[in-house]
Amino acid sequence: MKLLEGVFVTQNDGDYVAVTVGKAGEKFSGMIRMNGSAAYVVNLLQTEQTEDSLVEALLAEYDVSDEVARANVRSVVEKLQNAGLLQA
Amino acid sequence: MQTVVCRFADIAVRINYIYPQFKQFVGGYTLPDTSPCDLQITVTEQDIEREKSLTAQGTCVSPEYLQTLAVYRAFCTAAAKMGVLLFHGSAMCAGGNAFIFAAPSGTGKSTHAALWRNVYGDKVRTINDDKPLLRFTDSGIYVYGTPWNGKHRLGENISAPLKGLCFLERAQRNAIRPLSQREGFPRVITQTFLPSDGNAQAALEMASRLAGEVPLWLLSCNISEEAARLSYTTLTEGIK
Repeated sequence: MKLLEGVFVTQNDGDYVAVTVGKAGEKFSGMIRMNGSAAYVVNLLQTEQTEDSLVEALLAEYDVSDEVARANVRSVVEKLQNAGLLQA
Repeated sequence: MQTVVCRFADIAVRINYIYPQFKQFVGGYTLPDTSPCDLQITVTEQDIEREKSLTAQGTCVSPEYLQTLAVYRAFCTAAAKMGVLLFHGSAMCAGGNAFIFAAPSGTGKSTHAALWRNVYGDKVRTINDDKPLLRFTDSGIYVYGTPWNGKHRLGENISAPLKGLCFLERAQRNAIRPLSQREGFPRVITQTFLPSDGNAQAALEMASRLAGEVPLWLLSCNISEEAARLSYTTLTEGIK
C-alpha cells in the first residue's frame, strides 16, 4: 500500500498536520492533525509498504511492544483508507 | 510571444507571455529587460486553458485575465522554494507594520479594509487588497504588494513586516479575541496557496511558521466604523 500523490506533513504547535494537494486533494480536502508516530507512518507511506514493513519500521523508531505498534499502524492505515488517501 | 522582467517580493522574474495587455497589468513592478533574473516563466495556451477549467462554471472570463492567473500560479509555485508564499487576504500598512485581514471570499475583508481607509485616512496604506505575497526571512515575515490585488485594483509596490493576521467573521456585535496557534493554523491553511507539486511542502512549512510567529486574531464584526476602530486598536497594540 501507498499514499496517493499530494499528501504533505508538517510540524505545528508540538504535533503534526497533514494536508492534501493535487490528486490527494481531490479525494480529501482539509487537514489531519496527528502525533509523531502517526506522522512517521504517514511519511513512510510515501513509498510502497506492507503492514509488516510499517510495524517493523515503527518498532525500530519507537520503544513500544509489537502489539502496540501493530495497533497504531492499523489505526493510521484505516484512517487514511477512510479518507480515500491510499492508492487502490 | 512577448517578454517582460518584473520583481515580485524581491524575486526577479522573466515572463514570456501571449496577450499584450499583460505589460500594462504589471506596470509599477517591471525591471529593465536586461536585468538578471532568479526565475523564468513561459505561459502557454495550455496553461490558460487550465485556468479556464479551474474557474467557476458559467463565469465569463477573458483570456487576458486567465493569463494573469496562469502567470501567478507558475510564479507562486516556483517562489515557494525561495521562501515566498501567496496568502489570500487584504493587507494593510499602519505605522510601518503590515496587518492582513483574511476570510473566505465574500465575507467582507475588502469592506473591512475600506473602513480602515475611511476612518484612518492617510495613516493607513493598502499593500494589496486580495493576494499579497509573504517573504519569510531570518528577521521576520514581510508582506509585499503585487499587481494581483483584487477586483478593485487596490495596492502599492511596497512592503512591511507582518505584525498581525486577523480572520474575519460576520456578526451583529463587534468583538475580537486572540487565536491560539492550534485554532489558527487550519484557518491559515485555507487561505494559503499550496502548489500542486512537491513545492507544497515548502509552502506548508511557511504556513506553519506564519501561524506560530505572527499574532493571530478572530474579529467578529458588522460593517461599521466601530468595527474598524476595534480591529485597528487591537492589532496595532497587539504587536509581539
